[in-house]
Amino acid sequence: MRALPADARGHVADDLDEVYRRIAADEGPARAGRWYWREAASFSLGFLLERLRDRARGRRAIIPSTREKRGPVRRSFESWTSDLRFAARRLRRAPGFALITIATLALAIGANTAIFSVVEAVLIDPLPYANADRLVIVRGTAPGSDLPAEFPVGAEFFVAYRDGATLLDDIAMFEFWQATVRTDERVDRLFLINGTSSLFTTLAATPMLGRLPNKEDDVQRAQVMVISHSLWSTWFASDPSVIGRSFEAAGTKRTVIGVMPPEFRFPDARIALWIRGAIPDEKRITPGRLGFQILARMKPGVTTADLAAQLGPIAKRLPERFGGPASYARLIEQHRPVVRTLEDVVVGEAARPLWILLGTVAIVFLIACANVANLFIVRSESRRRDLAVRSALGAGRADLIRSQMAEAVLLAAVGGMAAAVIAKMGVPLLVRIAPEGVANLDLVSVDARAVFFTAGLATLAACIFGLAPALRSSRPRALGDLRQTGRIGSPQGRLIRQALVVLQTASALVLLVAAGLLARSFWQLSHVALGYETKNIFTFQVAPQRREVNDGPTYARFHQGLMDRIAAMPGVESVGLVNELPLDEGANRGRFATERIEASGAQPPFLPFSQAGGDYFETMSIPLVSGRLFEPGDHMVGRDSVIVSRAAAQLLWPNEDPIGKRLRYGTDQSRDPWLTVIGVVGDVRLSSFRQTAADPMIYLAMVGPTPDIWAIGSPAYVVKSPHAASMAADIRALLRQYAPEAPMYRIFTMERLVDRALASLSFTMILLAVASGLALVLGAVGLYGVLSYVVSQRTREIAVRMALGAKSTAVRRMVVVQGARVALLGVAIGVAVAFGVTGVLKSLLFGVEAFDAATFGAMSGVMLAVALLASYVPAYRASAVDPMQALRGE
Amino acid sequence: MPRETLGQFEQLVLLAILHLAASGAEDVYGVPIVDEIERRTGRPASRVAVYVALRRLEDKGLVRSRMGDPIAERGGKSRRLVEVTRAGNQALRDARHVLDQMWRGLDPRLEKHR
Repeated sequence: MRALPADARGHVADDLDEVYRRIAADEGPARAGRWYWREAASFSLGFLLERLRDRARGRRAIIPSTREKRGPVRRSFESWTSDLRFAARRLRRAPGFALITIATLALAIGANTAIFSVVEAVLIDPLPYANADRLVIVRGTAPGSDLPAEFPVGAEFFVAYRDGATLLDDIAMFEFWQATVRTDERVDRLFLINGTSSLFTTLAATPMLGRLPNKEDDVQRAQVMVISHSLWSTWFASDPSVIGRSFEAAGTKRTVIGVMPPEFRFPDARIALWIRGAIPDEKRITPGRLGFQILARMKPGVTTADLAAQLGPIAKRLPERFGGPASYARLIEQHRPVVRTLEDVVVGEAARPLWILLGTVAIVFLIACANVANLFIVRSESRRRDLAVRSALGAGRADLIRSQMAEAVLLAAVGGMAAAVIAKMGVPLLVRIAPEGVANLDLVSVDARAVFFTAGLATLAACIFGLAPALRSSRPRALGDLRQTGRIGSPQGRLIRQALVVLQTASALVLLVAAGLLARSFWQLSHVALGYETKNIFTFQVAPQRREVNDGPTYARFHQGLMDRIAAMPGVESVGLVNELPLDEGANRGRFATERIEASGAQPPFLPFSQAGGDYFETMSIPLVSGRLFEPGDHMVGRDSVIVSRAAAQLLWPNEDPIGKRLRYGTDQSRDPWLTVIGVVGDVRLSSFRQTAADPMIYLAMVGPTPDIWAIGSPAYVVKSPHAASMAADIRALLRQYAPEAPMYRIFTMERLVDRALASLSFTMILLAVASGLALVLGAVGLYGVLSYVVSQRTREIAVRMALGAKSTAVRRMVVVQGARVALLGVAIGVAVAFGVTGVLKSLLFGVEAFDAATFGAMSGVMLAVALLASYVPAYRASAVDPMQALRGE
Repeated sequence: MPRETLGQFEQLVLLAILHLAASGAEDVYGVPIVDEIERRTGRPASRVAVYVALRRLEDKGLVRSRMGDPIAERGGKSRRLVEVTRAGNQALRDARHVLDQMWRGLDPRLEKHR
């Protein structure tokens, strides 16, 4: 029937069927069958002769004779355009195939492009400075001391390194501050950097307007600052006359001398201002005051190891040059410099999840390609006759390949365009759910590089799944089967398709297992007992700015007044305040000594501490273990009450009752006061859900024994109320009445802080879940496709079996078993690969092993269940075959 | 436009179509055309010849075809229905006229000229 012209094929075949049925009814199927084959042969011959006759007459020639006259380039271009046109027409007649292919490609390529855009901004090019690979941050480590694993060092280190390090081109020192910035129109608490004038030279930054701080400013001790582009546009409406304006920043009036360009950030996008900081007079540096960050630019060719080796001995000589107590000398002995590239520090923890995600979408892309490859193999095989005829009529191998590639190219192009749209929509979504603190998230966009990436992927896809089947089916040997009847399906084709499905199943399983492990980790992590409540608690910070509020008691009075007013608001159950809010900023640390520790001469431990006031403990539901909580009388000069957490009590007075025991705040035995423990409260996890143990905490009263020893400047308030999520406006109004000059900032609910703490894990988990879901669907579709094809190939065999008495259930079982075999093989391989791969996730996991049997088992079960479901539909169709139909038709 | 000359078989096909149309047959397509020719001529007709003739006639504009409505027996597919065009009618008349001219003056039963 393929010898007939296309428009005759359908109805001629149907007409022949009609007569066949008639004859079969009259004279029996055998006779009818013979008649049918005779007629078919005569039709083929008859129409072939007709065609030859037409050709001879010059009418309806199959190969236009004018073709030879055009040049080779024009010919090839025209061949391509006509092939594309025909491909479009063919695809329009097979909308199911076209849509599935386009959808598969669009999703896979779109996901890849979206993640690539994020990775590109965050990981590949995170630092907008010249020669950024030479920039390093220098910190210290002192194993054996009780300082954190890495800590920022003191000003004396900066001076010594500056003078002695020959491997450096430039060096700067800076601090992070969060301070009040006040102009005539606005006041707010902003993040700023207080740094040496060498900061900008080290970064090799140039301003957009004005100039940068220089040595001259240092000599004159000028109070100057440089503002960020975003501050300039939001606070000053991008007015260039801001240069030369003075306003208060961090308590001092300073002059703006420059504005930075929009893409400049150091070290991240939150910083609004860079203040020129003074290096303390070198003769008056008190050694041991840690907390300064050092940024340096290494000379070309120097490695971080080289630099660390050079700085070590320099640091060792610090006590010689700067003096300091014996404890300082001990610290220096244990100290070693730690040199990290700036990139390392800035990108930090975001790197691992992002690389994992990139790997994930790459796997999904390959699965999608496997699916599409399968679809194309089927398509190329069903076009074999068509290609065979074409070849017989004079088409060269290149023509055949081109005609098949045309479809692949068209689908890849449309799929690629759809992918670009998906990526454009997906990127803002990704950015929104990404964890805070991922560097450069505001720079993520679908840009030219991403577009090229997408186009590259689409081209790759077209080559992978279009070229291979095209090459195979255009081989001369493959074309010699004009005579063959029935559906053509080469054994190799079938094997390749089944292999592809096995690979898809295996990959999908790996992703499923990863997603499952992360989901369990997330569940475990979010159920960690923090030691305090987080529901319905509103928090914010206030920074009073009055001259008369300047010491312990005055600050305390201010805050107590505000707390009283808040407590009177409707719906408020309790109010408290604390200097260091859990999950927000971590805690200050200080040295606390007991009488026994001092007597023994040991180094007093470095412990987190915070002032607390109001009903802090009740509001946060931190339980009282023994003794009592602070009362109003404790927050007064001359009192010495202190509360400790259970872990601190155990650390300082092991197995003793701490109530009534004394604790010295500080290491200066001549001046620092003794405090008396009045109560023990439950432990809290301060900084992260992942902490293995709660932190020992010391809680001080709002006012110390003397007015100047400490003050709660800008504490975090905690307000318990069912309206916690919507209280901000009311409290702001209250504050405006009570203290209009005081900015209100860091406004959260505790639940938001919880979400933020979990964000890194939840981000990765959500994306991995989506990817594995996609992989599962693609794998199921792939399996369904292969089995459908197998069924259609074996229709005759099935029909014969059923005609010979096989039950439909047996037929269904045969198909399902085949599907199950493929799926089982895939699952087995997937489990093996997953074993090797899940180790990569270890840093993200929590409470669950990388080889968790339950997760592996459950996901394998899911995969098999889905595979069986995907097998069932073709199985059902197989069993519904009408034997008569099957044996006759093609 | 030069009038198309009709081969003998083509005339048979056209006439069969006209007969079927005149008798009010539901669908005029390949199968009943073959039947009609066989019935009237009393001899078997080459099915493929009929179909090829139909194509040629359509190329010459003497017949037009269209796809009918989908029918159940064909599983929702339709038949290709044909009908004679005005040009086809004219061609038949011309052919008949030519034959008449050739026959004039001869005994219709051809006995006298044996």
